[in-house]
Amino acid sequence: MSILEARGLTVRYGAGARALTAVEDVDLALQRGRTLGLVGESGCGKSTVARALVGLVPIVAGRVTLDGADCTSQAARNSARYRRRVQMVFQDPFSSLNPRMSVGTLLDEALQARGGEFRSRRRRMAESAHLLELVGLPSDALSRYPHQFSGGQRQRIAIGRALAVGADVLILDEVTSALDVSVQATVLNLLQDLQRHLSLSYLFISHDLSVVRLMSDEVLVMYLGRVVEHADTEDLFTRPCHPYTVALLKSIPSLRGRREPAPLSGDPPDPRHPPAGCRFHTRCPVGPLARPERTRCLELHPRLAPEAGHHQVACHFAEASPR
Amino acid sequence: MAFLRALRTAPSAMLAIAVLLLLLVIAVLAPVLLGHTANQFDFRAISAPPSLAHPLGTDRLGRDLLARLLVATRLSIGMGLLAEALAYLIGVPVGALTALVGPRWRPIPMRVIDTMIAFPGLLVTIYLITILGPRLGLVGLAVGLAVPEAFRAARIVSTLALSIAGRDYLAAARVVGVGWPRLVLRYLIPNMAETMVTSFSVGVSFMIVAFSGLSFLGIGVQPPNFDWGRLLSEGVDSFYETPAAALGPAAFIAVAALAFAYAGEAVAHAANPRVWTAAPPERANGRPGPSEPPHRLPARGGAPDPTLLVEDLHVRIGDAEIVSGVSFSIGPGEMVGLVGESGSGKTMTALAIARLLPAGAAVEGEVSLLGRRLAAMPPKPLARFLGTELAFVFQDPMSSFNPALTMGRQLTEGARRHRHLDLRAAAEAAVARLSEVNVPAPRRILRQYPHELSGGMRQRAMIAMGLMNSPKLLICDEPTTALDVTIQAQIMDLLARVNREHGAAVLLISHNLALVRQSCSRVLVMYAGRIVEDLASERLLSDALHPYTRSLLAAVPDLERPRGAPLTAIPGQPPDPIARPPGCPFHPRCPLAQDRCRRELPPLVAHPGGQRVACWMAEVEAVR
Amino acid sequence: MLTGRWMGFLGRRLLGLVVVLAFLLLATFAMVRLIPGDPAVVVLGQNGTPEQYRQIDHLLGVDRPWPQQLAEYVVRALHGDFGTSFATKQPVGDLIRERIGPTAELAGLALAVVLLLSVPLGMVAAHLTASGRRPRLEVAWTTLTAVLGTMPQYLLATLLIFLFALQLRLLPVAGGRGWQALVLPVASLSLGPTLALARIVRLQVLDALAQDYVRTAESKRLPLLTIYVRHVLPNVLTTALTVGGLLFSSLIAGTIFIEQIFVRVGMGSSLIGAIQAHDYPVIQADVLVLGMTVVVVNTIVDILLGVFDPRTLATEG
Repeated sequence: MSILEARGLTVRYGAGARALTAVEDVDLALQRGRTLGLVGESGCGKSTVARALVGLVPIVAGRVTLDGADCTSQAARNSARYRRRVQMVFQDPFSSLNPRMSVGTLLDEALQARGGEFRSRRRRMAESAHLLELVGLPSDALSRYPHQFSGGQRQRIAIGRALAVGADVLILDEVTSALDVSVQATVLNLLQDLQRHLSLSYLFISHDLSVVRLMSDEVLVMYLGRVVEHADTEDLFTRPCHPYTVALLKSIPSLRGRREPAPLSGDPPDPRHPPAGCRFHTRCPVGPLARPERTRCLELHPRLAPEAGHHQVACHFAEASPR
Repeated sequence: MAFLRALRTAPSAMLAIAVLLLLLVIAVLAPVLLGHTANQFDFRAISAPPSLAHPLGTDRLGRDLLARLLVATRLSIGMGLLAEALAYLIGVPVGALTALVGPRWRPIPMRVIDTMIAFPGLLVTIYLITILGPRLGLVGLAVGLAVPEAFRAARIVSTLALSIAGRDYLAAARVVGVGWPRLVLRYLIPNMAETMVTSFSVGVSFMIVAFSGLSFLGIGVQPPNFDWGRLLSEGVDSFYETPAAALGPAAFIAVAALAFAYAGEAVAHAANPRVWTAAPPERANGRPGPSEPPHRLPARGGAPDPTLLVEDLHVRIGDAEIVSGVSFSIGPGEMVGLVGESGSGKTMTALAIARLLPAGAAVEGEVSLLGRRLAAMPPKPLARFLGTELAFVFQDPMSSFNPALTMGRQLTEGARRHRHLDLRAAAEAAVARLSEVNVPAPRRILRQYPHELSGGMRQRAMIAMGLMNSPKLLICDEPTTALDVTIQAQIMDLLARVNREHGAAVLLISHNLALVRQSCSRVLVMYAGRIVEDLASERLLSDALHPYTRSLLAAVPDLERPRGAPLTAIPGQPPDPIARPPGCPFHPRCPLAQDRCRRELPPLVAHPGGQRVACWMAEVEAVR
Repeated sequence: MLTGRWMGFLGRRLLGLVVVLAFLLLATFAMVRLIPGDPAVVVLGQNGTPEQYRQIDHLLGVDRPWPQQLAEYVVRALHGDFGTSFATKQPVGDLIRERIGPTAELAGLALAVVLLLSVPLGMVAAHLTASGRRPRLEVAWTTLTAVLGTMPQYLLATLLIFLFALQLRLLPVAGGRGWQALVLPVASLSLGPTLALARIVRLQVLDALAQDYVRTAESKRLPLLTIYVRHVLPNVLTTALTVGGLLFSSLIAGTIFIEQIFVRVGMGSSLIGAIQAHDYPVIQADVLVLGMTVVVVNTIVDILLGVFDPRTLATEG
């Protein structure tokens, strides 16, 4: 049973000729205690999906449900009820915490939003101390200000705050992209521990496929606002079907083996003027550029179709290509 | 209190605040204590020069000038405060509304505000005073001064509010569910307060000056009231007889203006928590960390005629030693990677080699390019040498190109300067290089500006620019960090091709271990300003010896590693460059640390396995 | 070239100019009507005859419906006819024609001095104090430009008169002929803005020197002068022009003070005199003409900015 679900999610910025459809017709479902990875390069719309799910941007079309209840309207996603369940951790640890508030005040404020037993100040203080321990920070952190902490520590504070509100669904938007490799490992390990202990559900967004592979149970691949592939993690990485996914995997440098030549040439198209038909056809190694007879790609946008079991691909000519 | 402590640190600020308080005291007390004296005529001492009885002399009616100036303080400062307060009363709501209105409608009020700011405030004031006439008296004057100032206030408020509203921490707070009242009170206002307080008190300073100016012109305060401006105007009339009559008022106006201008900034600055908690970095005996032992070990990693030879490089900035004794070499046509996390000193090393460090950085050690010692070359030949044999590719292609110049200009200027090519020849060369790096329509690109190109295109152009003079060494500092992974692959292809076809050696700086492993034949691992390991990249995974290298390898989420295996985090943090502990810099975080590691710095030595490594435990087989 | 965008940009600027001028005309016209009470009484006092009041009312135009009067006002203004001065009974247009010359001369010279001096001054100061060299010079510079740069013109004039006319007896206090009579007024008018702009220029240059693109230029081993002139200057000029343009409006305001203190004939002194005499037609006309001058100059500066800075065209909405 999915906790948080979206069907046909569409988000548009601006209006008229200058409109940018950042996300179009995206389906996703988060299961309790599991992680759904969302991966793609810049301009693919993954951050917009995150912002839409937490109510920061309005949804133009589609449905969002939490535990089955419809939450598509802005008001619903901005309601206290929704926010107590769904929280977000932002990418940049240096700008996501108010420089004028101490860590203690920050956590206290989030706990206040939770209401109930947390109306008592003493209860909140106890919980703040508990949360700090949970994310691995010393108790004297409560009186200190964000600028006194390192990037990794600030991300842990941000995670602590999300938990303070009481959320069990966390939207993690590129939370380790701004961190060094060794610090990244700390934060990722923390997230996995927390998930195990508290049965949290994650939407893990990243441009880094290798990290997504480690953290996620299922993966969605996005390109220029649309989902192009959806599969269980193991499946995606061993039998990627969509040419973009294949190219993405080939582009990642590995610690073993020789470098392969870059699979994609050219730049991604302007999101404001996406190509007609399949959006990937301008760079697709198996599309009309390489095989002119495949004119279907120019005319019709491919829908997500099931390949085998859970694996879904949006491509007219997808073939499972074993790695 | 932290606030007062912060205040004490800046003596000029303290002075400004003291003067301000003094002025306020005078404003309150002087009319009470000296009001009578200020109006006492003395016909025996008309326009008298300064004397003991009258420290600043007297005016045309024999009245004591100093007394009059002190009494006038209340009106002058009072009007300044009143006018600025009115300005903010009008301007803050206008600015707030402008910020709240959606982006579609906002340009309208913004244009109106900008136009009003560009219009002479004095004309607006005169216009308003003419209309409001003598009926409204001082309040009318205050309103006349306040209206143009209100637009300035509105602009500050709206720009500031918009900038803060766009910050992540505001969005994060909204997601947490913080209500609007609290968002404004705890998020918006505290982050705006510093600027607003400063701008308010600077504004008071302007208003005092402006009001005095109106009175000086005769259209401000009317007799029998008097303020500094009127006293100045009277004083100027008798400038020849007693200059003090004019200099006195001038000095009062100037001092009050300066005091308000600085005091506000000081108060605002002291209220910033960043300032409360900024502690001076701790020093360990005031000496920089231990450096490489004086006897030089052979630095060469191989070739007898290296393209680049770096020997015992040290870079110091202030008390921090960012690079501590780095030695390595790069052979002709070799592609070598320099890997490290933030703070390892890898970028500083590259900048030091390229002689691009900011002034204030102290460099020691030898750098030789193509066998010639850079430190020994005189400036002009050095510039020519480096301009033709060395090229630097920077990390951020957007900020590394000058936004005000065309691509053509920037690509050709190096060749025109150092190889004395004329415009045509240089342009042809640029087109050739751009084609080589797969930039479409190169001729058109020459005419375009950097912001018109995409990120990947800009980075290619940067590489093309580096190739213009056919350098023997290309230093690339994180060339793909700002790019998507599919574009990154294209750029790495390009670098490999350049390395192959031009025979140019490449020094690739990166934090991405896998990237370096795939593209470079050799890897140098840096930690805390030192090279800790130097080995062939194909042996990285199998034969790396240094515990840091191994920890780093274990922390990288590689695609081939099994999914269930957790990432190995390295506990702790790299040492502060100002206060490195003695011994091996990695020992506080090293699983193998022994007593010797805590006391003695391990030198970078050749290991029988074929690499160089700086670790006391490397000999011990237990490393694996 | 980018003719399409250029036309759009130019069109928007000129449209803006027309809108502001229209508003100015409307505002100055409305000025008389907004004065509370009876303006005729303000001018003549209580003892005028009904005939005299009617005459003043007619001169001011308050006896006709305002749309008609507005139209007349605009048409006459565009022909340079601004009515008749109460005080001197001369056509205001003549008054302006006499006086605009000296004011323009003063403001123009001051603007030239500001622009020509502040940019090189700021650049040299930046070069000398870059990277924390010469900290004492930096402190002296910052203090000097802060203090003198924010001093109002009338205070600076007082100081300069004291130093050069009274103490050193080098220059005349007021009146005088030829270029000597201009030195102190122009200096008083331009000293503050020059230092204020130089202060900004220095900060902009230091900022530019810290940018990545300067490091790129250094990596190409270009000579220092080339880097300053070709790479830094264009990026600094944009700000200098923007601020310089704004400065012009403060220079115009400043001429009002300077003409008073140095007893010079000009628009400013006429305006002040008119205010004290309640000579509304003159006030109206002076505010209109001075205002128009500023707006036109600002528009020219805006257009020049579009010429120099390629990004302005791109970012303009």
